Amino acid sequence: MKSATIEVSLRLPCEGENAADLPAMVELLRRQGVAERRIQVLSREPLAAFPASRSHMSKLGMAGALFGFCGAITGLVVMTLDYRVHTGGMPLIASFPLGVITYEMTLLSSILAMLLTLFINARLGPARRMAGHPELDYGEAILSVHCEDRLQAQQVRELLARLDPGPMATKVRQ
Amino acid sequence: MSAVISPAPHVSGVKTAADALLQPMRYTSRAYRRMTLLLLMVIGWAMFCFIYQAMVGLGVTGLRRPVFWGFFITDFVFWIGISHAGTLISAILRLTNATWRYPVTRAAEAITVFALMIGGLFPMVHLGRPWFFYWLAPYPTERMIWPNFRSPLEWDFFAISTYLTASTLYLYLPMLPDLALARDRSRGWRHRLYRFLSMSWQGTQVQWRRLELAIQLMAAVVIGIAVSVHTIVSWDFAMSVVPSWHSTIFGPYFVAGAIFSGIAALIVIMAILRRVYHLEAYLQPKHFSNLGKLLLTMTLLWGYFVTAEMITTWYGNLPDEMGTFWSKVSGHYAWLFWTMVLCNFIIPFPLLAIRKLRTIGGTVIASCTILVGMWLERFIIVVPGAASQRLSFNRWYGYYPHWTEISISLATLCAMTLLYMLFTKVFPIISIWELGATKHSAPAAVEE
Repeated sequence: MKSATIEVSLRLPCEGENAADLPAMVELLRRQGVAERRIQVLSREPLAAFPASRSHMSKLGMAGALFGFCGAITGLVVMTLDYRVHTGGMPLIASFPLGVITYEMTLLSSILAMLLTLFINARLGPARRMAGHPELDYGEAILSVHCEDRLQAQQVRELLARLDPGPMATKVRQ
Repeated sequence: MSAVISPAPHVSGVKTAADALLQPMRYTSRAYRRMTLLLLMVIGWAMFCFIYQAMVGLGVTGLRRPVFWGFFITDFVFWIGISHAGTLISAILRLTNATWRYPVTRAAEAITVFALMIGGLFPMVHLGRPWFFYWLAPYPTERMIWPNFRSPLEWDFFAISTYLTASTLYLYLPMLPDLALARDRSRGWRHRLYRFLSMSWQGTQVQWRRLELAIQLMAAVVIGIAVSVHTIVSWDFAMSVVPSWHSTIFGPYFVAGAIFSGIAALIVIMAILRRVYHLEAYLQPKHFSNLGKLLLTMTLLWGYFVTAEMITTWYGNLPDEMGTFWSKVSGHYAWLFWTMVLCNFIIPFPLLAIRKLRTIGGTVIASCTILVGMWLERFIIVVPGAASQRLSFNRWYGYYPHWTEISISLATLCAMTLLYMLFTKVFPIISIWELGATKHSAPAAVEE
């Protein structure tokens, strides 16, 4: 069973003149010793302030394509040899139809590999516990810190209060 | 149990753009229910026709020797063509970073999925013994019969199933953030449904970056699949030695025609959505104008392909080919051929080329004629080729559809409408996050 964490969250504007400097706030929290994995910035739309990090999605997509390509060729050749049909003297394994089907299977496999990578990287899945923030709206972001104990939560609250005096929410999550 | 989508808790009384875009999912009018009932009745009648056809046999249709491909295969090619509306157009616009695409993409991607679902049924509807439909799929049997991978019809199975999977994912992934929004603003069964479908989406920056990358990569792959699908559908014809079918140009010709009819379908559906759900603030004249320009390009391309195909056939002057050629140009099928030219080129060209005429009304009229014209084009490709006299004892046969085929064909339109209507009640029809909830204001009230 997972231990309970205390989530301290701060709702901030992320657009317009009063937009909060979210990357700077995240950086400050990091420098104060809060582990990166415990800090989350949630928003209803992607924030340009957070640049894209490196991902292996394209490589894994290529790997998926290669898997599909090899799997399709192997499958088709084995099946054709197992269930021989009359070809009227033509080669039993026809390269052109093999190519057509292999092409489709290659792309399908690539897409499925990318989907799987997305779900794993972005921690998506129906069974995952999610920290819901229904109050979040467009033009806003929630800076959320998952603290190990009450002491750390108090420290984070004080730290965030210095950055932004707005109302803060604290939730205990399993 | 009640299932309500409520406005954002902190903005009660104030309608945000996101709430406005979720509005079509919230209320169902009496007219909507009546329309659903009517569509279900038509689909029910078509189901009866199909069961009757399955029980009595394909003799109840107008299919006779040598025309074994008629309305059903025409419908199959037409709907697979329409399916190119969404994923291909959306993917191209996404890769070219056309920012005006935001309100258009979801509507387009939904067309793809539904059109493929409908089109994919036709090879089964067309079967003499439809209960053996699973023989189309490759699987080992104790009878030692394996589907022949040399058959282009077998390629269809792989192409269409791949395209349907890819298109469904391509529709679903960009919807994740909007499903999470719907989850946060709903109660009851809808909340449970959206909680499941949103896959625990929270909106962390890692999730956003990964999602954007996945959509971008998928768009590139999907274009490759979409092009291949209609090329393979064209090969159903081109790989045979039937006059007017055996053509090297058929691959690109079919793909161009598919995009052509797909854009037309998208414009018509956008206009209906705009009118019914009062989405005037989101689906603006500029969207219709831009799609109209794309449609104009495709009109010209279609005209070019048809001219190239006809001139090559005429200049070659092969007896078999010329029989089919003259049947189209001045024979039995001439009225259909020239109606097709009228609908696909003569009417839409001025409507789309002249800026003053390229209004919402103009593009919708052009699109409607194009949809009729493209269906006729599919018919003109399928039937005259099959009907041609190739053996001395064989006679030209004038194919006339019977009530079963007509009913089933009309029901596909109803099925498309019904699926789309249901979709708009469960999913946001405009991508809310891509619009950035139109920068946090409510441009217009959205109601049915």
